Amino acid sequence: MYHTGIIRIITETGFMPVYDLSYGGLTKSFYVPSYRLFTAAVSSLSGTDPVVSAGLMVVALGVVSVCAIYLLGKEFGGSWAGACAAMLFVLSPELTIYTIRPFPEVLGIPLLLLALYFLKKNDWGMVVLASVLTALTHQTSAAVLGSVLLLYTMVRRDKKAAAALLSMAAAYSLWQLFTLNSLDILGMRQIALKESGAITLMHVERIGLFALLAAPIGAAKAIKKRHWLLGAITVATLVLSKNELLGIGIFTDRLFTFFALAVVLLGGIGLAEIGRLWRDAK
Amino acid sequence: MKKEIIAVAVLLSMAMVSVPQLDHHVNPWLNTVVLQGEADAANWARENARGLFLAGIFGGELVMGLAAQPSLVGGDWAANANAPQQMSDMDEFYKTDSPARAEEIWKKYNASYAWFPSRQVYAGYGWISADEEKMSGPRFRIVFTNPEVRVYELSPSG
Repeated sequence: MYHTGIIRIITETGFMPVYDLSYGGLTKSFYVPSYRLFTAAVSSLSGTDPVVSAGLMVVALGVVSVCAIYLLGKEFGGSWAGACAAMLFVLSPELTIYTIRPFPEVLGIPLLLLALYFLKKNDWGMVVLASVLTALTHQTSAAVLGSVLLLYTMVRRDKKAAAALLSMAAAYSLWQLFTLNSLDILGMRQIALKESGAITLMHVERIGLFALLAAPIGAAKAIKKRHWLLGAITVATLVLSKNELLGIGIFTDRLFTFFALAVVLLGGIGLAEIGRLWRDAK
Repeated sequence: MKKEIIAVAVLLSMAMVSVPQLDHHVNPWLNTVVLQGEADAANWARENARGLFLAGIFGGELVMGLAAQPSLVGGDWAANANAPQQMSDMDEFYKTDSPARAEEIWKKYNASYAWFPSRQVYAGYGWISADEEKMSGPRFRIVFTNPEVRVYELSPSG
């Protein structure tokens, strides 16, 4: 709801407030602007209250997320893999929890998926655009996307991924410099104080039963087909989810949501592969 | 064609099997934590109240969302280095039976309003029942009331 408060101020004044409303309202906001600006624009253009707009945006962006995971799954394993990934996305409690609330992640997730889709489609312009928008929408989604792009660049020497990564870094740095007069990302309180939650079996269960069952088959298929980008997504999100093993220990439970995305993609490929084997069986 | 129909049927069956798991994990996130009357109060505040609210986390976020006013607690804790102390003070504000102590905390933060819903409140250190009797003295006065919430301000003499 506090995001909705800022959205309300934007619609009423036409300006993004410098100070957040949280915990007394005396501290400069460290949030990136796109989700709030986008929702404020929808509210203003439609004439609906920001609370209503924010709620409707959750529904609309949920649909976009499902379409985006279909498109990405289709790139890796065909239309059935995409359809199965979309189904597993909808059936995943973990992904549902983080796509039913009116906060920046509901826009960050579809943007991240679209950025990866455009990377797979070799569309330079759209990769950079989607990546920059992700960086200006949700810092956690940007951290995940940046990690995937970095890993993919290192493995494949992909220039598009490198360009997108540099563009993201530049966009985010400029915004932080503009709003907080500082490039000290590590000084952000959540990072300095290591805001995090332990990953438990409950989190793993929340990925979704059938995604977990089918993902190993999908992983074997992806390795066989040398899907490097999917490998980068899986490895990067897994490492981020367990970043305490690297001595970092920040946001592990929030980053785990993105590992669920990877498992859902692999699960979609796995289900499609099971279907193909059954269809071709005599 | 027959195999495609069977495949779709299998996928639909998987979906049906997954629904209880979804219910179990997701429904708690959809439970309401504020009362309808509190939403009415926040809508009143949007037109009539400006300033810091002394409220629990959920009431405070409701005020932020509907009235765009700050709350002492609620929102992103990382926004303020003093968040743990503020949660502790808010907890004490609700718990104390001393009007003087409540007024002291009120003035410490230069607050404008206090939020007392007809439910337990959560200020950061567990669900508690607020002592509202201390607000009935001369130091505070009600500016909005309905069966589910009362909003107070300091009396002009306070």
